[in-house]
Formats: sequence, structure tokens, C-alpha cells
Amino acid sequence: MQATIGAAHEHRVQMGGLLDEVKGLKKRGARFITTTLRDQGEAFEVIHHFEVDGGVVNIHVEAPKGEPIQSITPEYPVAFIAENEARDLFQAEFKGLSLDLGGKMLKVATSPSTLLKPAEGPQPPIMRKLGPCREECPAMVNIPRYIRQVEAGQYEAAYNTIIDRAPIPAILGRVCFAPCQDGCRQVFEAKPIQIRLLKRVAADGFREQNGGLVRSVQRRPSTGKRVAVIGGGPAGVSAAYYLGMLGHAVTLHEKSGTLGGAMAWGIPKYRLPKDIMVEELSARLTEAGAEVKLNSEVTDLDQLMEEGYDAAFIATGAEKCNDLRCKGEDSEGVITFTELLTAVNIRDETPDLGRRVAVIGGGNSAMDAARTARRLGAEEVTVYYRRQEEEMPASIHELSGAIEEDINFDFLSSQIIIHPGKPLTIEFQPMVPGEPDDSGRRRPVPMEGLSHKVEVDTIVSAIGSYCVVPAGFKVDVSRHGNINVDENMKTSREGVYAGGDIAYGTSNVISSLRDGRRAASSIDKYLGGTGLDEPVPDMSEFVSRKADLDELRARDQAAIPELEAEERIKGFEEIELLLEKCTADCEAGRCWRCDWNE
Amino acid sequence: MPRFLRSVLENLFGKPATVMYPFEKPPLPEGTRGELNFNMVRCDQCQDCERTCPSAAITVHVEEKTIEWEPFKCIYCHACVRACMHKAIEPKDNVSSPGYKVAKKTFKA
Amino acid sequence: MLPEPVQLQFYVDEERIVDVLPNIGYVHRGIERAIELNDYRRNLYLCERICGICNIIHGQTYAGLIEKMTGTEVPMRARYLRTIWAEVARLQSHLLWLGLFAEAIGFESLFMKVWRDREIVLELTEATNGHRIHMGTTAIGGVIKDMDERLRERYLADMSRLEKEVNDWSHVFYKDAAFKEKTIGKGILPKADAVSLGAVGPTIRGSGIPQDIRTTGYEAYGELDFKPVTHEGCDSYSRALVRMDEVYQSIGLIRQAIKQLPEGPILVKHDRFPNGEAIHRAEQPRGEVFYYGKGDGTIHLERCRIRTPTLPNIPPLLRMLVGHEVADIPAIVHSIDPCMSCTERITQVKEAS
Repeated sequence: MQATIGAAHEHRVQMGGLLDEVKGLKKRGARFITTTLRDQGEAFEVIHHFEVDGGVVNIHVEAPKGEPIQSITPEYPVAFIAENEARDLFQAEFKGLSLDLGGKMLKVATSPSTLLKPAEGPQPPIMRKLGPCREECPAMVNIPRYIRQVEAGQYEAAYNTIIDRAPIPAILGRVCFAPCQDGCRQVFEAKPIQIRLLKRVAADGFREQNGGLVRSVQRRPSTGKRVAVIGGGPAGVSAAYYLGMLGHAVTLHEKSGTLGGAMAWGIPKYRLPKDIMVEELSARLTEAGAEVKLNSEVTDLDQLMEEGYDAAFIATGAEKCNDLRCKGEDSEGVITFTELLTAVNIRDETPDLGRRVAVIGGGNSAMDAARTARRLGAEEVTVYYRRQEEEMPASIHELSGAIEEDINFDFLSSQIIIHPGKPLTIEFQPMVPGEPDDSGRRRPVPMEGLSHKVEVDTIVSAIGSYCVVPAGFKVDVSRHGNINVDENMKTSREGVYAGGDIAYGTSNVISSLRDGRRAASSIDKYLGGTGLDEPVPDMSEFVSRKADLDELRARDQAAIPELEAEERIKGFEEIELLLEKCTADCEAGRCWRCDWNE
Repeated sequence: MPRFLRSVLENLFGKPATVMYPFEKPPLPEGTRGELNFNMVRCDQCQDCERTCPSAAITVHVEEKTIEWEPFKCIYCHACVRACMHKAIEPKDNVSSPGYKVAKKTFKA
Repeated sequence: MLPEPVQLQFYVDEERIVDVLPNIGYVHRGIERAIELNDYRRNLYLCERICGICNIIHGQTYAGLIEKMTGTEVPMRARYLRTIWAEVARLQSHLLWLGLFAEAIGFESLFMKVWRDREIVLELTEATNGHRIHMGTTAIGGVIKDMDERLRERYLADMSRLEKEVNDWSHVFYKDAAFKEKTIGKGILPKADAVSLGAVGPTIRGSGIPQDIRTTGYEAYGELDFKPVTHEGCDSYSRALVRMDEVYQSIGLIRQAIKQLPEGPILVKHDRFPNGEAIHRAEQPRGEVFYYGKGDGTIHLERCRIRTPTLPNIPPLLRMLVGHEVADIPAIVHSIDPCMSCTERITQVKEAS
């Protein structure tokens, strides 16, 4: 019904044929409705609207400015009002006007006390926001867009949207600490969108549809420049991917026998299956046309650059463990978390840690070590941390998972002496929270004279790591041992950039991916290109909120599907399962679309 | 004749229809549009109300977490009430008394 | 008598009018230009405020225009609801006019009585959405408020009450000798002139021509059963009777629509910016309103042209006035129901020097 009355008939005529056209309409009994004038810059477009036989006919005429427009008042005298009005407003001359009011039809006057003012520019100023989730993400992934694409079932489009800013969605969907979810506005109603799970839905969905993770994408034409990337962790692979897509020839040097860096040895297999990790990293490097050299350690940068590279990116990471700094730390049975995790994750070994294991530390690595120890058969695993539970840097997700797996916690205990032997004995000193230090947390103060002893079979130290920069790199190093970089990831050496853990200390996967992309953009500009663009709100994209908002507010948050605790500790199976399609659609539909633009 | 007799008798013996405003207030129909109240505890400064307002009567100061609302510019269309996803804007049904100056109202947390 | 800001320059000879020249342009507010500067969503609120009396129909016509430019299909329930509210607006406007016309003729207490009955409609509007005259229920793609059981019963009860009150005084318009003396034979607009001068609304229906845009079937009018009201007198008396009959017709249409109200959603969102050209026409209480819009795929409209019904009624007015006496001017000018705030919304291009 609505469509038929909207369909007007359009006629386009030249100025000379206007009167004949109008005569023809008058013979058919047309009724004059009105005239519209539109300013097109160089000319006016004049549209006369008539009603004929119950429908509307529009006659379009182009009239260059400066030439008088033929009036239709000889045929339709009532058109004089509309044409006089157009003449007054647009200063357009009409010829043949039957009643010419001489430009005086509209009275124009300005009163100083009037509240009506002509508008200047678009009113009110329009903004479109990126969305709080996107602003929290270190890599500024276009989260609202890929949530909409997952809801519509367009997994390939969602996968591409994520890769535009962070190249490894399948891995991120399993391991990212998801600061976006803390930024989601629905956290106020205690149900933020499960953005990380939706990312995995997109990646696994694409993998199934596509039969693998390799996409068919075009690189830019070759620039003839060569870039060396040192380190195959997230920062290195990210930089290699973006540089390769920009057209440069990239060679990636990785010291160990597998890609992944800290993702490979540091993240346990029950979080990130290693075959998926290698598949995705290889897929990206294949698409970028990058050459990968495994088992190729680089310590002398001058020697490397002589091989003909125009720029280099250092992303060697931080894998030297901090010392326990207590007597007896070299005893047998005291291992670092890197040794334990590397053995289990990379070499697939199952070392026997005995029945009782003590893990010292409070971060995610301590949780990983403790849960790995549990899966290796230890029955009593206790985590010792020198501050309080609320101050632990480990994520709540990991902590609750550890508690479910019967791991014990002992807070405000710091190690003093380790007595060697089988079993080992550790003496712990209880601590009391004191004044806050510069991280904002309260520095623990030892309670003198008190201590307690514990007997364990293995001690795992997981109190953080630091990086060692080889002198052969010849770059400036900070007090903490990290490479000094500016905001464009540039080091003190010309043509050499750095990013990831080695530049900022231990961080996380998504921040390292951002470093890699930023460095790729800087290197591209250094080599004469334009770099990569930063996100700005795009006013030409149409995004609207849904019609029935109360219905989607009533939906609950999707729960993370996981294996049961007793099942989990039997082996290293992946704990999290993929969301069902209908649950994923429901969860993605819950999004409030904070980047709306309608 | 009988038609207006009934009307005369009704008016003669009935209660006066005058309402002694402002000492008594007449009953307001439900849903009358009065002032807006911004609940700053629920507001997270997303600026959706500022973007939706047709007459630019709302200004959100993100860093100071305050909102300025101009009752004179407002056209009481409740587009902001519908746009706020946290339901932080509540329309009241009081009709505010006229003031001496065109003023803005500021809402703080 | 509601003063409208139009200046009519009369050339008189003794008591007879010889010629008339109109001067309009006293209240133009730059609305068409403002429409180009605002984004298309905010324009809905602007268009609703072009006129104080016929506001909701302006809003519905603008929403209809955008729906055509974005290809949205409005659900049936929303169309019925829009029809019901458009008829309530028409009722309210005609009752206002009847009161003013009565006062212009000289019946002052009838004016008070008619406006007291108009309060029944205004209280109904306030119960619907909180404003007395301005309903504000239109959105692009449907309506924002639904009518539940209680509200529907209230509508039907109020329509019965209104009909009873209107029956009390409608005989003045139909049969009163003094009223007839003042309006019959005044402001004659012959049939042929009405067509060639382009009159719209009750002005042309009072000359016997059944031109009513509602018969084209926009919104839910295609499914309601009604015929355009015409009278053959061609003078002010006929035009008054047309409006009086339309009051009864509106009450009947509201009852019919509420009985036939289908189930379903009330709002459908569009999925793209308005693009292309479109036109939409609707029947306002004063006649045919015409909207032409051109969008270019961004958030702003390129051009929007609005032609409200009073503008084409001015040439017939000029023809009607010639030959009558000065004392008849109120009866004649009022019979076309001028609404000058509708008429002036055009661009203010000249800057004050």
C-alpha cells in the first residue's frame, strides 16, 4: 500500500519544452501541488509536482544560475505563490510570471531581541563513539562490529574484522584477559557480554567453514624492502604479518624450534592447544609471505643487518626468572616455572613432581604452574603469596579455576630459608600489610621472630621474569633491563624497533600484538610508506539499536561452558568448550551497540 | 425549558468548580510530563542522551561526571528517557513553578 | 477569533471589497533550512512542531517519507494506531475551528461550550502520552507507545461521551436561522474555480468535489470504511457543515479502528540511511499536506520541501472575498481555516544588513 502511493512518475524536460509538458498535463486534468527549488551549486533544479489520476507526477528541469526560469503561470496561474516564494528565497528570476510580487512577498527583518537565530552548521553537533569495549582494548579491535557479524552468522567477516587490528583471533578467543569485558557497559548490571567467547566462536566457525585458518588475501605490491623480525612470539608474528601485508619481504628469526614465544611455553595446553596455536601463527605468516627461520638465534645485530635488511624489529621477550632471593634456592627440587612449563608444554614431558608441591608467587604464571602440577599427579598443591588475596595479579577466572581443582592458598607468607633434602623443607615468615608502595598495593612487613616450616617434594618459583638484552644489539637499555622505546616503538638505533615484553616488561598477548602492529606502521613509514590507519568514528556507516530493547535486557549472560573439575585434572584437555550456536547468537544479540549511528 | 432547568439546579446546589491553586492542587492525569530527574548513581557518562536530544538541552561532562539540563530548551519529548540504556533518566510528574531567570540544572553524583 | 499573522490588503469602495492582496512571511522560522542541517532522526521532532494544532500528522507524514526513502514496511498495528491518533488530532482541530467560527459569527457562549467539549479530547490525549495537544508517539518505523485494554476502553467511553455532548449543540450549525443568515451565500467558490484555483481540504469539499487524500489508502485508511464528506453549497455554510460532519466521521473512524485493531509489533527499525527521492501526502484537518524529500545516503537530508494546506487555499480566498462587504470578512476568511504557522517555514536566506 505505501509503496504504490510513493511511486511518483518522474519526467525530465529541458527548459524550452516545459510549457508543452505542462499543457499536456493540464489536458489530462492535472492539479498543481507545489514547486521545489534545489540549489545544486552551479544550477538550480526546479521540480514541479502535479497530481494526475490519483498519483503524483514530478517534472524536473535544470536551470543554470543567471538565466531566468520559465514560469508555468500561463497554464497554472495558482503557481504564482510557490514561484514568488522560490524567487524570494533563492534569488532566482522567473520569466512570464503572471503576478510578480517583485521580491516583496516574504518580509525579512531582524530583531535584536528575538530568540530565533539561524542555525550555523549541523545542529546539534553529532558524535559517534567507538564504544567503551573498543576503547579498553589495547589493540582497539572493532568489537561492536564483529559482535554484529557473529550474530548474523558471518564468521569470515568477523574473523577479518578482528585480524585488521589483532592477527590471531583463535588464540585470543582462548587466552586473552579481555579488558574489553570490564569496559562493557553492561558490567553495571553484572552481565557484560562474553566478548572473548564470541571471538572464539568467530574463529572456530571460520575454521570449520573454510577448512583451515589460511585466508585468500591480497598483499600489497612488493616494495623491495626487507625487514628482519627477531622473536616468534605475539609481537614478532604481529609485526611480521602487517609488514608482509604492506608489501615488504619479512624474515622471522625464532630461537627455539616452535613459533609462539611465551604463548608456546608459558600458556598451558589446557588453555591453548598447541596445534591450534601453530596452525594460526603459520597461517598468518603464510598469508604475509614471510620467511620463517626456526632454531635461529640472533645475538649480533650488526651481523644480521649486513645480510641486507633495511630495518629490524626486536621482540625477544622476557624469559629469565626472578630469583627467590633466599638461602638454599639452588637446592635440588627447586625449579622455576619456565622450566616446568617449557617441559610440559613444548616437550610434552610429564615430570614427576611428587605428592606435595609448593608454588611461590601470585600471578597467572603461578596459577598455571599450580594447575599443571595438579595434572601431573600432585595431590597437595599450595600456592604461597606474600601479599593478600585481593592483591593477587592473577585473574579471577584462573583463581577460581584453581580453587575448583583443590589447590590450597597460603597468603601473607614469604620464603626465608630452603633446607635441602628429600623432602625439602621451607621456612616461611608471616607478613603483615604495611604502607602502600608505588604500585598502590600495601608493602608486606615481616613479623619478626615468627616462622613456620613446611615439607614438600618440589618447589616451583613463579615470581615474575625479566629480560636480558644481548650486548650485540647495541641499543639503549633502561634501568630495569628493558629496551628503551619511544611511542613509535623506535629504539635508540636507526632502523631498529622493539616491542612486546622486551620493551615494556612482562605484559600480555593483546598488548604485544598492539606493539607489533604499531611497530609495523612505524617501520613502513620509515621505509617510505604511509603506515597503517588508526580508528576514527566513521559517520557514513549505519548502525542502529534494536527495536525491542526490553526483551534483550531480560536475557541472561551466557555462562562459560567448561569441563567439570574432576574431569579436568585427569589430563591436559582444553577446559573451555565452544559456545553453542544458539547461545552465541543470543549472547551477541544482547549487545547494546554503543557505537550506534542512526 | 426543562433542558436548562436541570443545568441551573445542578449549578445552584453543586460545589464550585474552582480549585484554590496554589493551596490545593488539581489531580493530574497519570503520565503527565514534568521535570526530568537524572540519577547520577546509574549514569556512566555514555553521552547517548546528549546525542539523542533534539534541542541540545543536555550537556554531559565526562571527567567531572555531572550533567547539565536546561528545562527551558527541553521539549519534554522523552527521547533521552528511551535512549538511556541504564534507565538513569526518570520523568517526574510535578509541574515546576515558573522562575525568574532561565536557569540550568546540574546533576552531580 | 484566533489572530493569524497574515496581512490582507483590501481595496474597498464604500462597503464593498474590490480587490485583495496577501502579504505573508511574518512568522517564517527557517524550518526547511533547519531540516537540512539536522540529522534525519531529529527532524521528526522538528516537523512535529511546525504547527501547533495539526502536529501529529506532520510527524506521521515525515516518518512516512523517511520510511519510503529507507524501504521500511511499517507493521499493521502501528498503522492502525497512527490512524487512530491522526483522527483524534482531526477531531481536536475541527472542534477548535467550530468554536472559533461560532465566535466569529457572534455566538460566544457556543464557543465556550465547544471548547469545553474539546477538553474531553485533550484529556484523552494527555492520558495517552502525557502532553495535551502534542502526542509525540510517532517514530520512524512505527509508534513508540501501545494501547492496552484499559486505554482502549477509555477511548471508546470518551468517544461516546463526546458524541453525546456534540449532539447537544450541533443543531446550531445545522439549523439555526441566525447562523444561516450570516453564512449562506457568503464566500462563494464555484466548482470550476475551486478546481482551477487548486483549493484543498474542506474548502474544496464544500464545493461538492470529493477530494480527500485519505482515499489513497495510506496508513490504515485503506482498510477502514468511509467516504469523503461533501456539500454542494459552495459557500461558508457548506464548509462549516463539512467540518461538522467530519467530527462525526472521525468519531466513527476511531471506533471502527479500535474494533479492528490487529495484533503485532509496533516498531520496525530501518537498516540504512535515507537515500533517493520520495514524496508523501496526507490529509490534515485543513487539507492536503505534501512532503518531498531527497536523501543522499548520509545522516543528513539533502532537501525537504513541505507544502501545507493553507498555502493553496489563499488564491481561492482572494477570489471569494471580492464583491462582499467588509462585515463579512471574518466569516469568509475563517471558513478556509487559515493556519499561518504551517504556511511559513521556508528558508531565511537574506541576512540582515
